[in-house]
Amino acid sequence: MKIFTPFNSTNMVNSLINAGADELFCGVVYKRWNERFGKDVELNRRSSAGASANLTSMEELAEAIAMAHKLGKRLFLTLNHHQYTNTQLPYIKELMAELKTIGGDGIIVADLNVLEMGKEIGLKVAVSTVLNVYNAETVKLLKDMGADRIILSRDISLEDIRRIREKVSDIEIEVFMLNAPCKFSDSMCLTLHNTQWGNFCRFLNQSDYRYHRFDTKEMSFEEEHTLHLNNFYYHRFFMQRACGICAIWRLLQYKIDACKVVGRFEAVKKVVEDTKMIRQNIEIAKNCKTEIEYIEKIVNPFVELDKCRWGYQCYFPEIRGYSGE
Amino acid sequence: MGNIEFSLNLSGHWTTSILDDSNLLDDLIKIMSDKVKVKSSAPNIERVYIGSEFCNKFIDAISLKRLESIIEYIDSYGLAVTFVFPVVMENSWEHIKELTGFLVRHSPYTMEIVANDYGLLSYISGTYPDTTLIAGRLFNKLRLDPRIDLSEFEGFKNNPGLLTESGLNTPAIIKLFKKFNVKRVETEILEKGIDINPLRELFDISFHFPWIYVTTGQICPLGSILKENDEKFKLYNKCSHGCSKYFSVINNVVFRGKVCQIGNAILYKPLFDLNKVNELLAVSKSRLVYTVNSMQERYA
Repeated sequence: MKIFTPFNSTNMVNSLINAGADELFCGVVYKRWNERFGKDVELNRRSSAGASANLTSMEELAEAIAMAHKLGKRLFLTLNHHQYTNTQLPYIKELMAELKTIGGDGIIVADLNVLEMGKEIGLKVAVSTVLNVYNAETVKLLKDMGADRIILSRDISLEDIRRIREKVSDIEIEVFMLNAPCKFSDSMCLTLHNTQWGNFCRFLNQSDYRYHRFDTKEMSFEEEHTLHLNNFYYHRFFMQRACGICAIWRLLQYKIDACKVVGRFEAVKKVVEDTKMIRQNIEIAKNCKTEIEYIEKIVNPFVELDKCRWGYQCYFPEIRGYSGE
Repeated sequence: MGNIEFSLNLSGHWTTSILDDSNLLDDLIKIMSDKVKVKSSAPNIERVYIGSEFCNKFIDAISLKRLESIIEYIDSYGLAVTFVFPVVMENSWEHIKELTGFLVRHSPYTMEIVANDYGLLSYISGTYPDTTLIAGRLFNKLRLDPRIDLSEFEGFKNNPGLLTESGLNTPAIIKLFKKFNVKRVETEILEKGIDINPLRELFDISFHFPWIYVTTGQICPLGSILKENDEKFKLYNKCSHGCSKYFSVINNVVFRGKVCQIGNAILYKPLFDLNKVNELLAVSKSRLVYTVNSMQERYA
């Protein structure tokens, strides 16, 4: 299972590959796009963050591609805005043509137009979680359209992953492994993923919830208490971080092709540590005969094991509890 | 307004509640009739939407028997049925195939199916090619945020068309919808209207009104209200179906309109430019899909 790792600066490339990354992905600040639309009109899901989550120019991107290729690794460019408009698509096409010219290997997309254009240009296409892929029928459709890899949604069970893998064996499947949780589905969130305002889901944590009954009857104290306590747990603890490390052994059995570290905005030290830790755990899993054996040997990413116990930070909480207890 | 079709959106919790409360459907029809006027007269409501746009667990819980009762109840009002499916989780697939087969056989001439999933569009168009297939609202990835007037950002200010232009108007999407023999396409109406040309030259258009969906996901907070702490918010757990009883209004001084959460979906009601709404509806075969969100409206 390959480790697909983000970066936002050429300084990170060699460190990440040495840490165990098999493939890299990044965003880029595209001058022509910014001149026309500005950074707040999404080129990718982190374009408003500018240089803190994206390479600053096509020249820097070309340099990163050369560095990655020197070490035998592929580099993908993130173009994962949900849907571009007719006004925007010519700029995307131009950017992809430049990417191909400077040796870029592939793109991560959510827009079917960009999938088609990318294939015409000769780029590998990974379909982003931002396209809503939850079932085998959708995977088959995208495969027929030319997709090379499908990145499944975050909020999907291991059993569904297994079934999809079984039904569609001739396309690469990637799952989320670490960081950047989403309370909702990224694919179905229309709000602005904007640095200035912050994510909408986190904004809800600061909002006032008033519960009502549909039948307009007055709520009992117990009902109010139950609802508000549930809401407290949801906003205070659920998906503050996200981790799928416990599932590595099982994902290897399912023959999942890649796992994703999220964090184009993260500092190099964190991404390197995350990559190393996932690499370590993949190697451990390869040498374990059973899942329980793997769970006992895991290099745990968190010191706060209570978060693991409740499963609020788990991509795959169904694994939790396999401790031999 | 031209030949507008009017539909009442009872997807989600209303779908099953109408069987449990004999006055409910009458009350909901009355609310829509009071809120939506056609030259001061009540609209001619022809159709009711049932099912769920946002939640697999809700669909999982509908049995064929219950579904048949719901359809026949609606039929007794002389209304046609449109069934809405959400994005389809792999584990729901077999049940959804069963439901679609039932729907198509039950009312082959009047049943419509709304699919919000590319895989489901592909499956239905391949398996039931004569069915009236509608591309649902979740395909339309508009840019909106209840906190923000997007026109304040320079990029949107300099390119105001981006505020209303839909990505569904693009070649690959249109080609796919045509391939799947989609008859009708759904969209929200934004504060400043919506640009759906050339889409509307090729497909009939349904406009959801007045609640816009903002965000949704598979893990629902209300699904866990009766769960112990360490079983909350897990995909694999059975749902508590809290959404059939409760909803929340979410208040924040920054919100530019009303925001509420029903189950796993956050919905937003902005201040509309009603002239733009009327303009959109003036085109032939437009459909207004009206959502009553709370029973406060029943007694208002």
